[in-house]
Amino acid sequence: MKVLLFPTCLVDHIKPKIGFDTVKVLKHYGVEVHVPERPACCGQIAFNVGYWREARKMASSWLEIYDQPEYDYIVAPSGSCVHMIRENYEILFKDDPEKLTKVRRIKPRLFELVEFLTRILKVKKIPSKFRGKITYHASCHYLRGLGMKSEPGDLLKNIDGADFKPMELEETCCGFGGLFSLKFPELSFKMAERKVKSMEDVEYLTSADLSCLLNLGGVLSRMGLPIRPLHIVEILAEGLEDD
Amino acid sequence: MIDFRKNADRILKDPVVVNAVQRATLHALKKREETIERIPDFEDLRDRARLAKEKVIGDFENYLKLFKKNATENGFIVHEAGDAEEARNLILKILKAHGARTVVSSKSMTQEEIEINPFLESHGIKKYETDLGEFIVQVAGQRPSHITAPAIHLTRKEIARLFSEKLGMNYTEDPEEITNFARNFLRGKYFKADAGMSGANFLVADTGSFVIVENEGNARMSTTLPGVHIVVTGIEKLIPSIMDLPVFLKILAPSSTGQRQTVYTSIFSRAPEGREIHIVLIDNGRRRMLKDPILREALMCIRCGGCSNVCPIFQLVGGHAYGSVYSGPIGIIWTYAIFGHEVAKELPFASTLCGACREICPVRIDIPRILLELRRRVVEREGGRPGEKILINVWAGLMTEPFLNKIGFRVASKVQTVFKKGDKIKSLPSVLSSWTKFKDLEPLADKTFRELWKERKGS
Repeated sequence: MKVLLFPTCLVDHIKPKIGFDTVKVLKHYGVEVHVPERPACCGQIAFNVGYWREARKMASSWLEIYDQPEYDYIVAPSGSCVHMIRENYEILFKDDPEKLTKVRRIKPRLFELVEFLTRILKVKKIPSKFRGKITYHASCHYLRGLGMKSEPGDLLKNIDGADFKPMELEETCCGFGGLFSLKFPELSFKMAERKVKSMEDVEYLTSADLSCLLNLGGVLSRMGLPIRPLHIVEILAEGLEDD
Repeated sequence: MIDFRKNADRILKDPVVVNAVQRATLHALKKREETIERIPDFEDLRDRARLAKEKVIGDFENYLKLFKKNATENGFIVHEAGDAEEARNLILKILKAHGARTVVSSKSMTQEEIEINPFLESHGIKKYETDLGEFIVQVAGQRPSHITAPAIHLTRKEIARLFSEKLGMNYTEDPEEITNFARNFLRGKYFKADAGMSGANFLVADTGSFVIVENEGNARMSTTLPGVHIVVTGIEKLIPSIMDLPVFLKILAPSSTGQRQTVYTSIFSRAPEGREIHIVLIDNGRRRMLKDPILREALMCIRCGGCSNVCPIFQLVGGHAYGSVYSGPIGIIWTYAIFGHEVAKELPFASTLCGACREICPVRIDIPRILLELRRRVVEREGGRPGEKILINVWAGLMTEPFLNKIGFRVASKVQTVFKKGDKIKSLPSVLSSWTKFKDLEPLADKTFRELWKERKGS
């Protein structure tokens, strides 16, 4: 099985480790992974604040890079980027039949990592060697957009050394919202603070979206709280054999 | 222009309001959950309600015509008002014809929309709000902060103080005693009032009846005791048939307060002998919405307030931050549609698009989709904000041009060392300073994932 990896712009430029961990997990299940050379962003950041022209520019470039029929699947370690492509590209290109065809060709083969593991590879338990007390933040587009509700928690619960402790406000938005966090910094902070305060007795905070983790992690760090943000794939990949 | 950020930041500094709103909204949500568990066909009911509303929107003028015809046959006097001013004048004319000096009114957001109270006041007519929440807000000289729960931003203590200062109540914080005081105060008004006013929750096309749901009995008193009753309602309240009504009644209360049913449901199907019932049908921008392929979906709203309760922003700042009679996620859309671009152009951005509103909406209005469209329109009309526009264009360049990306990344990861403290960035200049004001920022990596990947492959 051949997979084209979309590392996402944030992972690519800020946390390359998440990219490598994604590859590690996929390889563990015998998947052959390829990474395009060109940089790419799904365009969500522009699309969500009304700059559709700029979003279209990024989305067009994305389509050009990832519309490669020889790969069985395209996998990304981000719920919200996958949601953007799956739900919003058809809106962006509604008057562009050629691009629309590409979008529709790609859509059924595009998956977020945990979604790919649980729905396509039917993984129930990962032999991760992770140890520690983890809580989970359900990122909005992942939860409500892709409908990934129980799967991430189930995988985390099934890690032998991990102590999974759901937080009270698991499904509440962290206040990131792309440029929302720059337009309404105080409000965005209060939303994150409220979530952070609902985490009790945990060492790690995980999620399927780096953007939320940067937001919540930024608040945790500023508040001096000893909870470390980790992308869910960093937990799943822990201790798996490297190639 | 409504300045959401300024309003929100002001409210965030008031922990009393933040706590009051949070408690009230979370309580309603919890009750909703419990109630819905006992309605096995709830999802099916939502679909049926949506279908009924789609029918109305798909053939609006005919349903309206049918309603008007049937309502007139029922003995109601039907009026139409194109905008708020026309509506106000119409209402004043009716009240004057009856020599009305005082009016009792049950809760109606449409009345708030057309700002009828100050208008009547200026013509020497005193209007008393009789819904407890709305009465409190009126005494406080404020506007409702929630579509269905107007006074959720106020605590019991504040209400006690308000009533004792403004109405001479013997100070008590006991909710029952406060309610009793309000009840006695208002009871006198019903009997003295020359006219009653109300809104309507549903206008039933095939029977020409209108429906009011409420919990306090004040709507029944306001509409039946005085000699004349004026219903002020938006034309979007239409439903096709009385057969659809049970579907809507089954989803409205659970979605709103979490009750299985409201305490009172009144169906008005005939004007009684000797009493006039006027129905003022208000357009005020609704037909414009109807013609708009994206905004028209918002006309399906049944005003349950569920999207406000579930919104993580509303939960923190309450309705006053939205600076409009219509607050919360759907309120942003309504405010933009009714009051226009200039007034509301900042509002569509006051959402993280988290989608909780879409999930809870009983008629499944895709609120985030509409907000996205409004944002597009605002940027198109305004040309975007300077700093933001540059930021996005630079980003789009960096993410689509490999060469720019390489150079840009190199430069940025060098420059960031100036701002780095330990392994975090604690302060940034210009547009980006609003991030580091409250949060630390993760710095860029030394090399991109793609670069590292290539190196590993090469080795």
